[in-house]
Amino acid sequence: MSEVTYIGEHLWLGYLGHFAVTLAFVSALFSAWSYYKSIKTDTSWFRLGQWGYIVHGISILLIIGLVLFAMTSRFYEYDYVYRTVSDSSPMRYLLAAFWADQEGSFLLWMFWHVILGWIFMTKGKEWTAPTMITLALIQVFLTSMLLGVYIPFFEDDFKIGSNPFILVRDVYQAPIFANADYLTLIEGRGLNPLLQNYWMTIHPPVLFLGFASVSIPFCMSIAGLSADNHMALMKPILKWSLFSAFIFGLGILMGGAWAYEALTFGGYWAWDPVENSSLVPWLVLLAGIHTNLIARSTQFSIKTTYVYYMLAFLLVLYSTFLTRSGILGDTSVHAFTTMGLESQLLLFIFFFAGLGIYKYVVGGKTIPTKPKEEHIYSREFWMFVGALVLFFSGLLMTASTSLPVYNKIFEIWDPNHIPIAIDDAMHHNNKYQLWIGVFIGVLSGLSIMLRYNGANWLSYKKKYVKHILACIAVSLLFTALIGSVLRTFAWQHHVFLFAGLFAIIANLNYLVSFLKGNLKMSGSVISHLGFGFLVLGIMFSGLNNETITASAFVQQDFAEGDGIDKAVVLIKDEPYFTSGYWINFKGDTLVENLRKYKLEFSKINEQEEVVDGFTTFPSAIYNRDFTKVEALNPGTNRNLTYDVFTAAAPPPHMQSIEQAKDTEDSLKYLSHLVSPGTTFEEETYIATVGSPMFNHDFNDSDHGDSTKYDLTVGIPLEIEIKRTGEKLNVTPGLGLKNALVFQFPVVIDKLGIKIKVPESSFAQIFTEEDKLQYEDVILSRDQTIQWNSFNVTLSGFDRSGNFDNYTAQEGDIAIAALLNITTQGGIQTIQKPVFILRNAQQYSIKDYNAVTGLHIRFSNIDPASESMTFRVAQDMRTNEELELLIANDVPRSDLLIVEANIFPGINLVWLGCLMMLAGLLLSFLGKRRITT
Amino acid sequence: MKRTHIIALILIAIAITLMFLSSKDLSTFSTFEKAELNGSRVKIAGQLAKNEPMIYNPEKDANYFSFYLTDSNNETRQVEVREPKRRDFERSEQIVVTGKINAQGIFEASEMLLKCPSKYKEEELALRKQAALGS
Repeated sequence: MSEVTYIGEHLWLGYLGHFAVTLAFVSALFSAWSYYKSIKTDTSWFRLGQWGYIVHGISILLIIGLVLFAMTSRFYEYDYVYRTVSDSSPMRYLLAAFWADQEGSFLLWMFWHVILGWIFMTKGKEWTAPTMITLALIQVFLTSMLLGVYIPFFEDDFKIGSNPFILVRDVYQAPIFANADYLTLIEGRGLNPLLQNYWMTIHPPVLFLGFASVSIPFCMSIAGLSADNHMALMKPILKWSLFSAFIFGLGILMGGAWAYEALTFGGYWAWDPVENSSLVPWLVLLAGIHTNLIARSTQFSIKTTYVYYMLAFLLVLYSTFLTRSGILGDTSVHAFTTMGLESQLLLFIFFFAGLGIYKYVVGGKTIPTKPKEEHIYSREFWMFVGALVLFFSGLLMTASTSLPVYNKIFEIWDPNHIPIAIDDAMHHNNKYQLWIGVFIGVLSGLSIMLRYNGANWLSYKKKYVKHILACIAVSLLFTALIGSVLRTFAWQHHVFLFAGLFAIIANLNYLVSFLKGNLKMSGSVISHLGFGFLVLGIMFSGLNNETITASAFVQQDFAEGDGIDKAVVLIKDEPYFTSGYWINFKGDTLVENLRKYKLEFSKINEQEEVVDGFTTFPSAIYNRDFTKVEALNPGTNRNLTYDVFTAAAPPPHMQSIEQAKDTEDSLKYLSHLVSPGTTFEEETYIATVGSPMFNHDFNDSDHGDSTKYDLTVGIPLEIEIKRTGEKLNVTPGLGLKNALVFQFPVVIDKLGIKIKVPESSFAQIFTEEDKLQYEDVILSRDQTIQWNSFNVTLSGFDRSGNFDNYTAQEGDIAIAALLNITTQGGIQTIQKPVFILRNAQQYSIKDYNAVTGLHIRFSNIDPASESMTFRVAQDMRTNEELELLIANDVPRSDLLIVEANIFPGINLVWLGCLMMLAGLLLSFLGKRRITT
Repeated sequence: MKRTHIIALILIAIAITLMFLSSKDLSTFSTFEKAELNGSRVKIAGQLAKNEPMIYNPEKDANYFSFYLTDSNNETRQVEVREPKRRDFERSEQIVVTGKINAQGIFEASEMLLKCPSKYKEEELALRKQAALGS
């Protein structure tokens, strides 16, 4: 195969790409080395370090540019393009497709490191070199993920990195690559339709900026531990961490919003390992921010701050390992493909964990420890505890999320190890994280009104106690009020509710009574208020949600569970009443590969008056070639105080061609012999059979434009539904194209029947050539004769040479006769048999008309008598009985399986999260004003 | 010892207690045989028995789905779940059901997790439509 010279490949791009990857790798290494030398030996190395990072950044941008160019140009010779783009991929999803796959998402991560690094190079002041060493080293590791080098290692090849410029023919072994022009034969697979949405365009860049920004506090911590002026670092590191926590939090929130909008599980958070593993570093980063604030104000907790910041970054790496190594495969709904880079990712984690520990051990000694202890009535003491709680929350989550990792480790020792798993992750995490929420709520309320260092506690004590007691009293009152509305089913829920309300009331009180509404200083207050609202939102949406389509079990003796059936079946245009709502499935519309189902809801009161009405549009996304439904998306009706969330699925036989075929195979067809004009009766309907219709235009989307068929026949039926008296006109039939017979069956959902015309009916209607009995008919111009029941007139000739099934050759003499034919019933048609004289040989082209059933050949011209000889035969439609195949109990195609949920208070969740982020942003902006 | 250290130690103690407590939430995988013997709620991982019938008739009952599962002991049994049949159910590589065996010997699952093959693994090179036929 290697000798083949391929046509149409654009190899220059790959060469340039490989060069850029190598350059990016070398320049990152060079930059790290130069920054290191600038500290250790000579500051003149500093410029080289800066230039190294600039060159590195440009190389990364070049790689990204090249990949995007190859994608827009659809250079399918590159595996990455082949995997992410197809001919029909809309270009508006170019970026989504770029970071949908592993290499692209690594590049996105690196891109943000480049941008953040460039900013840090100009703003980092004395921290630039020591911080940039580590950042450049991180980039060395990340770039190595793209190297795509194979190193022989014993019997296996050890793979370093996965290169985005690898050729498709180097990845797959397929005979097609024996063709020099294989590129004209292959087409890219394109982006998974599930990911073709705007979330995929906006969510990854934000989340990856979040990931990347966590690296800066890590690198700065390493820098701080290498120096001895720790307090000088506490301000700039806080600024970067606040930015990071804001962006990272925004990324996670967007993930939750996407899940809520697009996934059918009906929620914003599922404690999925992938979700957890990105939440944990954020929580630890928040813990770091809290101790950082303590350190900045009191010089306590500097060490702890370093530890949290370094851990946050290491947990981002751990999260990358979990999600990209395929280890979560059994426990996560997120499907990941492996890159085969597990060991490289592990090395990545161990290297930086080792670096952090080493620096901590060596540099930690230089951190001054305060002889004095934190005052128990000081803000910092309780903030420290709060940070510990946040860290603890992350620890618990990591412990359970890492079960697959323990299983893997145990398997190394004991191949018979039986994997353990969490029974119900949702329940498990809710149970424990509830207490974290309680602690955070209570602590944020208690500590916000305390002062750093417990300043003037004795004189302040009275005021503090008064305020706290008032807040507790108000919170208890609200807990009782709201608790009576909530469907709480455990005492813990009341505690949680109290904690959330206390957070809200204490922080509001602080904002009004202490800060006097000064927004500049209120970042933390707003964040903690947000947390309180989030708690309320979680409680309302989690406890008071209601499945309006639910019904109690029909069947007794079923295993424990929630005891309700959640889904109902809706039939098109047959309104269904449940839980105070009429739901009407009004049909569907198909746009591109998205089928939208229209569900009309009307809420009625006890007087049966409609009080509210809305429509939701759940949808199904088909795959590229429309052979199956790739994803089901819910439809949501949004309101201020509640959302109505609807998930819908078509019945299985409408979900894929395979299942449709299985269903068809399981049908039992019964034969009915019917004569045109007669009526037959079944249990549920009466059918009247019409005369066969020829060249009927079947408006059948499954078979394309039916006018392209050579011949079609339909049997019109009028079906009267006994129960309702409704009359339906349907036409099952057959089509013939290139000697292949196609079925046009008819399904009547209201009766659950499917009607087909068997292929054998063709032979019954259309007689085969060798069974026809031709007779000679001699005619001269304008002569009319009677043949069987037809009047045949030779009305003229056509010498144009443009005849069906005829290609003119030089020297041909070709004449068509125009025969006007009138049937007994008065139907008039014209048939045009053709006579050809080619190389002194006579030929004829038969003309056939399905309506008359006449086959006519133009066999001879007698110039002397000017009489023409035709050979005429008629289809032997002697058997008037036609066969219909009818199956009963056919699954309906006009139904939809629907689950509808009401989520009250979901907007409190979004409001709470946005406030938490707004608080972080406000603090970031505020603190910046102070530093500059 | 500093107060913060004491609090940290307390939290660590709570953490260890919680870990022990939460071991209830963990389960290992069982088999039909064991489930029948002790009659308790278990988790069983297995494969769909493709030659046995799957029953799902939304017109009759949208929340009843039945299939046959072969467990790690190669025992095949009927499993019932009270939910609509999931999309792509046939393609699942592994099915994990949680529930127990009822008096009729049918495994009633209250929870079901499907592991599906990653998207494109077994897929062949996608050829340009029709062009492949001509070559």
